[in-house]
Amino acid sequence: MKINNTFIATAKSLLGVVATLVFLTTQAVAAPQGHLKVTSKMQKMEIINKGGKQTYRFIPAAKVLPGEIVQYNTFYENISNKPAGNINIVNAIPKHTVYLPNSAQGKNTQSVFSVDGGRHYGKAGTLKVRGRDGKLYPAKPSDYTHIRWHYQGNLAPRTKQAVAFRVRLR
Amino acid sequence: MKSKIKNRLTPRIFGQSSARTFLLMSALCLLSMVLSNSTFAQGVAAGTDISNKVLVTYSIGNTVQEPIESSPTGNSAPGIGNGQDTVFKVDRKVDLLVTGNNNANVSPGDSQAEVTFTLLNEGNDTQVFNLATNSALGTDDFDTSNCVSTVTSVSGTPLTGVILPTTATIKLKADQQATINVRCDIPPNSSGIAMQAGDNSLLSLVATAEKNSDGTDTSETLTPDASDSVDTIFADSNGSDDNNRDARHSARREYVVSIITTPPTLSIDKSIVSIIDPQGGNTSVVGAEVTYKIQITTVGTGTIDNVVITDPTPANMQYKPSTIKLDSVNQSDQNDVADNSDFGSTTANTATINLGSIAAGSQHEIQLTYIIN
Amino acid sequence: MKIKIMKTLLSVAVLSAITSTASAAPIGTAAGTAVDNTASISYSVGGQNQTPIESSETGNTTPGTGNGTATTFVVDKKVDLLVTGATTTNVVPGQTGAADNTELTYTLTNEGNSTEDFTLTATDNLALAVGTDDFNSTGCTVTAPALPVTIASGDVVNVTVECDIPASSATVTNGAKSLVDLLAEVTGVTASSGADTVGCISGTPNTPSCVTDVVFADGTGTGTDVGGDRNAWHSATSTYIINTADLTVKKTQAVSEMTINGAAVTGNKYHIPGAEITYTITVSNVAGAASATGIILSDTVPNTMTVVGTPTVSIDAGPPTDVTSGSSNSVTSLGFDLNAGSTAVLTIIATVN
Repeated sequence: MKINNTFIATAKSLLGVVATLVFLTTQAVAAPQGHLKVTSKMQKMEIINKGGKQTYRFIPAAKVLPGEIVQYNTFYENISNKPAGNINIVNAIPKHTVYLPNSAQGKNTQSVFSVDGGRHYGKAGTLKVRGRDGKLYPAKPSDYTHIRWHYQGNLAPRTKQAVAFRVRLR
Repeated sequence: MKSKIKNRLTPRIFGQSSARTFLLMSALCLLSMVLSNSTFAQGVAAGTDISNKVLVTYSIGNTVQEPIESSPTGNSAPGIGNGQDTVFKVDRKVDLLVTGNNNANVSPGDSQAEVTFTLLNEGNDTQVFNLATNSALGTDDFDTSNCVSTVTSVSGTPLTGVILPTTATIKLKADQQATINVRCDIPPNSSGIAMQAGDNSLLSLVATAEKNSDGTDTSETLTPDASDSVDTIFADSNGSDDNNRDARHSARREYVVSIITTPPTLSIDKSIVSIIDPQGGNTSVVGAEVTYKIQITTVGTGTIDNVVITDPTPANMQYKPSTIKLDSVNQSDQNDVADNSDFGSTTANTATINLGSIAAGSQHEIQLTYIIN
Repeated sequence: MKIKIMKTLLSVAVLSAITSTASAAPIGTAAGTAVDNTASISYSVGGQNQTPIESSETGNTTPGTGNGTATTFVVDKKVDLLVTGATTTNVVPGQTGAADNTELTYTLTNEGNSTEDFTLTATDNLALAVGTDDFNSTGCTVTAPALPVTIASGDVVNVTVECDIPASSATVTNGAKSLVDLLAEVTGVTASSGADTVGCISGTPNTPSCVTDVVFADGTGTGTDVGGDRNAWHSATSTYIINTADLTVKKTQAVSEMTINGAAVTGNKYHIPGAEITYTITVSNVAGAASATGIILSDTVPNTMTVVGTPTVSIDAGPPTDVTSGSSNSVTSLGFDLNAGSTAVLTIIATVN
């Protein structure tokens, strides 16, 4: 289970589950509701050997060991009746994981990365980090702290889009 | 002369030879059972394997290591039993010694006069030796004949009755010694000429190694030594009638004529020692006593038997009793055991002096007295 | 980043009591750690910026920070270990581990993501098909570390094994090798069976109380672990190499003198009684081998022979040294050393009786 630090930083996990369930079942009557529905899913990506060819498959991220790959998919759906624009999706790279290069994707999006906790973003390959010797070095994917996708254009009402990225568990 | 006799005798000799050799061998077999040790005074027996190996112990650092044994080709495997002996076979040393023991003093015509030899097997293998006598040697005065060899004992064990013919073999183990008697006939003269004392005849006995213990012929190895086979090497010295290292050895003995036999001869002389007449003169008148001396002289050798001297009373004389003296010893007139002289008993009116057997060369003198009638 | 540093410090503090342990960064995220992911989306409607909305695993529509729910899994226990060997130690035949410190070295690395207990077993396996194994050492013992040993994730422990080296033999020769296998085994773990769980099976994430699935992830080792993929075992071999003298002992004989009737024979000579036999005993040590010390040659000449004069030993054709000859035919050399590449010659002259 998990510490739901985005829900209430100090909440116990059991409370978190209950709260979520309550939240879901009482959706219609909840007072403030945004225009978008945001869902984050995770799957374990397993490299398998199929007929001598390496391929992969996705299985539930139940048994995850260091070194294994997890793919996160974030779905966003315009549940209002107005188009939504200037959509930016920010996802911190989960703790204990490392961003897998070139894994960020999403239709009609452009992705940028941050190496300083989300204060500044830049395209992959343009970021630099300061080494122990004080010099600047090109950032490696493992230095990334955040990903930000920018959806180009408006998301029409009742439409749904998704972005995805992959990490390797340290 | 010698060869002729030999030829004549040959068939008989061979006929007896096998039986006698068999007897001899049987006797030697008994001996060999007693002599079981293979090391003799004359050396380690031929064919004996002499083997040994070296043991090497060592350490590496402070750790004592497994010992290593040697092998003829080099052994590197540690551990007792992993080495191999370095082996050689003792080769066959053929060596023999014939020694003459005693000479013989003989007289011409002696039959089967004996000289003795010994034969010692000085080698390290059993050998069959051929024995041959030779009397036809050039430097002596006469030759003997009909020589017969007899082995009387082997290493002190008498072999009674084992008579070897003139040419024969005897099998001796290493270290065994045979005593051999050789008997030969002495000729009555030397080619018709009477012998003189000191004349001699030489006789040689030659022994030749002929067969090895395994039955192979005794022949010397000429190829280089091979450690794994029994090579044969001749190591004998030279004797009187053989050479150095020829598997033979020999010695000579001598027959010496010491006594010339001449028939004894006897001579007798009778002479008047004295005439004493009654008047004290020495004229031959009636009543005068005439004393006679009979001298018996012998020459030559040997004895003269049954010498009896008889002296009949001369005519016109009569015996004066108790006057017989033999070698100045008074004799009795009776035929009794006191002496062997009598007067009138053995033969009437006759003096009889029985000398019996006298040695040739002795002299005797008899005196007796008669009175003129 | 911060957490990683902290963990390193932690492992150093906890494990400093164990000697010869190289503390390293833990391998992988600790079992029981929860991994959270939340996306946040900002947008505008009709040109008006809206309050961003966070994600949840089931979908969230409520704007505002803290209204989303992290999508989370808990890191499971990966059991993985690595034994390395492939070291060599030079030893001498007959050395014992107890007296001579015949140390072989290995390393054991906990490649799992949790601290585990390990047992270690050293064997000179009879039939290791993983390299040259000329002979077997005996009595192999793990002398360090003390067992069982507790190793934190990512840490490396140096392992020492001592065996007894057999005496030299046809197989235990200079340069001969003996492979010694070290098998490490993780104790007290059982691979999970049944349904997987996303979170802790019991306990609380991010605390030691969290019990997770256990997955064996070790590879196949050499030696005793051959074929044992994912069995919580791993093994490797190290090698003893014999460094000893390589002696060859050769003994030859030849007739050196034969006298017949007082005259020395110059031609072919034979082994007859009275002949002088020269025994030549050659002891050589192969170049590159260890020096042999305290070599003693002993030779009992058969009593069918008589030793003549004093036997001598000469090393590398040097001046001959007299050998002490014992009683009668017992020949014993004084102890001497023989370096690699050297040759000693013992000469004994004896006559055939």
